[in-house]
Amino acid sequence: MANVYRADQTGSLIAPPATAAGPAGAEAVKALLVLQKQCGVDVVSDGQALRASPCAIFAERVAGVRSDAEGNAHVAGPLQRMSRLTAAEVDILKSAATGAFKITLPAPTLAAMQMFREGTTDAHYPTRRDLAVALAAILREEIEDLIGDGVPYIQLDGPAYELAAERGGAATLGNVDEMLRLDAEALRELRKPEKIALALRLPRARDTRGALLQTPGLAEQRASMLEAALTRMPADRFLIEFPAETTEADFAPLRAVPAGKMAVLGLVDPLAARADDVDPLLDKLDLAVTFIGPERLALSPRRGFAEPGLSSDAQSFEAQRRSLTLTVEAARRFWGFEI
Amino acid sequence: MSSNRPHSIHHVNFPTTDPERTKEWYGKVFGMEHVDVSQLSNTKVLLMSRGNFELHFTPIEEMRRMAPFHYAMEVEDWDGFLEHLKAIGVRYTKPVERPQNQSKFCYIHDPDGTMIELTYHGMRQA
Repeated sequence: MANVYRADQTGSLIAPPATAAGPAGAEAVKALLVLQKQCGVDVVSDGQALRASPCAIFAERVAGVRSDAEGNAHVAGPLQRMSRLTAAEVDILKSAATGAFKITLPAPTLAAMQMFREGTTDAHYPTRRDLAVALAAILREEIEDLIGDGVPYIQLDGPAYELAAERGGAATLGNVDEMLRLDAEALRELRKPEKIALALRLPRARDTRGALLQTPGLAEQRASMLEAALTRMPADRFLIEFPAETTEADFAPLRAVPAGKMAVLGLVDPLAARADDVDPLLDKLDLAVTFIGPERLALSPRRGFAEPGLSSDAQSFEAQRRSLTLTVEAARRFWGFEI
Repeated sequence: MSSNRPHSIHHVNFPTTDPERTKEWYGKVFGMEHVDVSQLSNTKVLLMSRGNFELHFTPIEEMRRMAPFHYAMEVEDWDGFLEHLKAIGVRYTKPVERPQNQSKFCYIHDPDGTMIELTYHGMRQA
């Protein structure tokens, strides 16, 4: 089993207010590393502070990718990886992080959804599925390089797979099973040391403003999707976003986590009002162990902090600090002291 | 002949944000007794005694996080102690066993979040 990292996080962080006014850069990442170290999380990240958007890593590094005025990347030509996608992040983390760190990448289907432009991309990749296949090859190369760099934790951020049909994905990316297969191509049978963790993040479905979707039957679709993803995806860890009000039924898909793999439970409120309100989280973890042993669980905030629907002001930055601290406190209370 | 070998640890001092709550908790969980020194000293430190060792608690306004600092309390009856914790509603982490020395351990936390390791050594001499 790869390292356990009980107090985890999604890898998306709000830059400190002092650095957020200008373009986020290395200083913002270093400030975020200080914050994460103070909070005590077991694995730190660059917070995606160097990226204007999740797919910005492809711009200027992959031929065929263009950026619009807002920094949103789209595909306008045949794709060819020209240089490393995350070299800047790796360099900063290797030099400034004092413990384990993670690099996050968008999953091929998520990147295909975000970078496909009707009337532009389809001249080169007729469907989103064709684009996802090409992106999977590029991301796989990047992951191989990250493994070569010895990056301890590599995370793919997936889409809300359960919404594939509702978002018109069925006609282009395929159903949930087909989307999982496309994304699995970026991870399948990679040669890596056991200590390096490959993770897949499984967020809940939101609209473009970040509000959770409340479609009838969505909970059942998500449970079914989770069982498929947990069973089939070649990852060591699964970061799963859970509802704010969880029931025992929400944790039932955890039964599908294969032996030797870990589930990171996204339970901690990203807007936590208190950093010491651990008991409700411990109660939820108790519910989860009905379905999976505690040794195969970890804890994280429910979602990323620098995401639609969450503000990035000074108050939110402090809420982020409380949320990360609460994650660490709850992990220490639940699993004790593990060295 | 002089010796630099300590006799034993007399006490360990931890912070507390609520001495009354701490006094009650350590009395309930470990059966420790309050040592009232108010007639002898104007110290604010809370003294709790097990008889052969003491824990002291210094009042503070705001608790700083202690992890990974902790201490370990050896218990006489492992199963009995865990039953005791269940009965009084104190949560403990999943016990771990070390067959090589017949030991077991888990963790509890006092009301201020100070971590306490509970240990039991089956090969311990009485």
